[in-house]
Amino acid sequence: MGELLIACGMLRDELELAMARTGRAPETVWLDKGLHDSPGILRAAVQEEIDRREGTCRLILLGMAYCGGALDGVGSRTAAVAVPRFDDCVRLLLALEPENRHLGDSRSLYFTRQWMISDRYIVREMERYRRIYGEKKAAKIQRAMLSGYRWLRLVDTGGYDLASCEGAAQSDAASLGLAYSRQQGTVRALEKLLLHEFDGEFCLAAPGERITQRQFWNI
Amino acid sequence: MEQYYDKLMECVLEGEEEEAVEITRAEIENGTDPLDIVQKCLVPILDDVGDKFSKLEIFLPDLIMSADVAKAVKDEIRAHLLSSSNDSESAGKVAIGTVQGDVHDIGKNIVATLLEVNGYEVIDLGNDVAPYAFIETAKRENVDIIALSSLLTTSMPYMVDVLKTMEGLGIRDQYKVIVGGGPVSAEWAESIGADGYSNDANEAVELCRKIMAERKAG
Repeated sequence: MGELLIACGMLRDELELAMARTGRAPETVWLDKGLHDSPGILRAAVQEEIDRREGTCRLILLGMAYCGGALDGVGSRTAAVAVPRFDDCVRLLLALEPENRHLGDSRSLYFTRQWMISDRYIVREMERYRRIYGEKKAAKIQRAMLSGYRWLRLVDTGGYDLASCEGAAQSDAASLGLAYSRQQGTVRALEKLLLHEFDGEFCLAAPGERITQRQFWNI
Repeated sequence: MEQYYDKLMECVLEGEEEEAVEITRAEIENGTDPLDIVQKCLVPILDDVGDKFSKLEIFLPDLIMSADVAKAVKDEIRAHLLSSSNDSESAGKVAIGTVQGDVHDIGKNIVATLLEVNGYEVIDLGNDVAPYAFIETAKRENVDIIALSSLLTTSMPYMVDVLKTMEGLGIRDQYKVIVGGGPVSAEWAESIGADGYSNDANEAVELCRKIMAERKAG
């Protein structure tokens, strides 16, 4: 009985980099990128994959983050479950643990290449709104959705060719009325996940236990 | 008024703000009591819109536009009430905001609009609001309820900060504190000692109604 990685497609570039660096490439189930829009749906999808593999592995690695409580209550009857203890994938890639809640810029929209090619990328969503609602109403929706933001930041995780995305990201920022910048990221937590270096940056649930919000908050 | 109701419903769902204001103005000029428009049309329509959203019959952009229309209609009605000196009793006073570290305010804005439509005085502090700003406003404005919103697990602990600061100042029992937002749950609300939690805007109105009834009775 080995291990299984259940991972969010949004982190695919970064997990593949971590696999190359660590030489660890467990059997992987990639989840659809859009699932994290709805924590309840993501939770159900993760649990369904875990249940499907019941009795077939001893360790399940979750290649994702807590995602608005999506992993609350997730667990396996027969395997241990490990997940990086970060609020969301952006904070995971910026190495900002829950204790560092004051760090990070809440007025920034952070992206990686996987975000930019996804259907849910904000620029693509705005284009969709223009088609459905017309220019005037779409402009109003965009104002409402982006009023709190000032920056679009492309996270340099090393998992993709930044230069090939940067031109589009700069033009997207301009079209959204945001300033553009790069932000240094890291895949350190994903490497630790693959290497089973489960320190305080991870939530662990033994077989028969569940990931809890209390565990996530470390309280 | 049945015809007006249908037309207003259409405007709310289609995001037709100017038309909604025009037909409301005409309805009032035709002699309909502005408060009837609120209670018999706007409130039930917004309840219906909330239901449609929870059943995934409409989506976030529709909800944003609906709230804008409701706000415009409410402002039009308020202007008529003020000009006719028709004072209606406030249902309660609420200070609302998205907590520190969080700029997501679509849900909070919808709750604020629904509360206003339902007769509450609402002081909207905006987003990324520091704990002390909630408390300062509550004291200065003598509010009944402090409503805290959060869409991020990173900002949820700031809800705790608001409650702890209130306790530290010895004023915790002077105000009711309610919480809501994407990752917020009833369990979380209870664990931090909040006075209530709501899952959506309609529930928030109902929660405030319940709290105000208890405050008035107590």
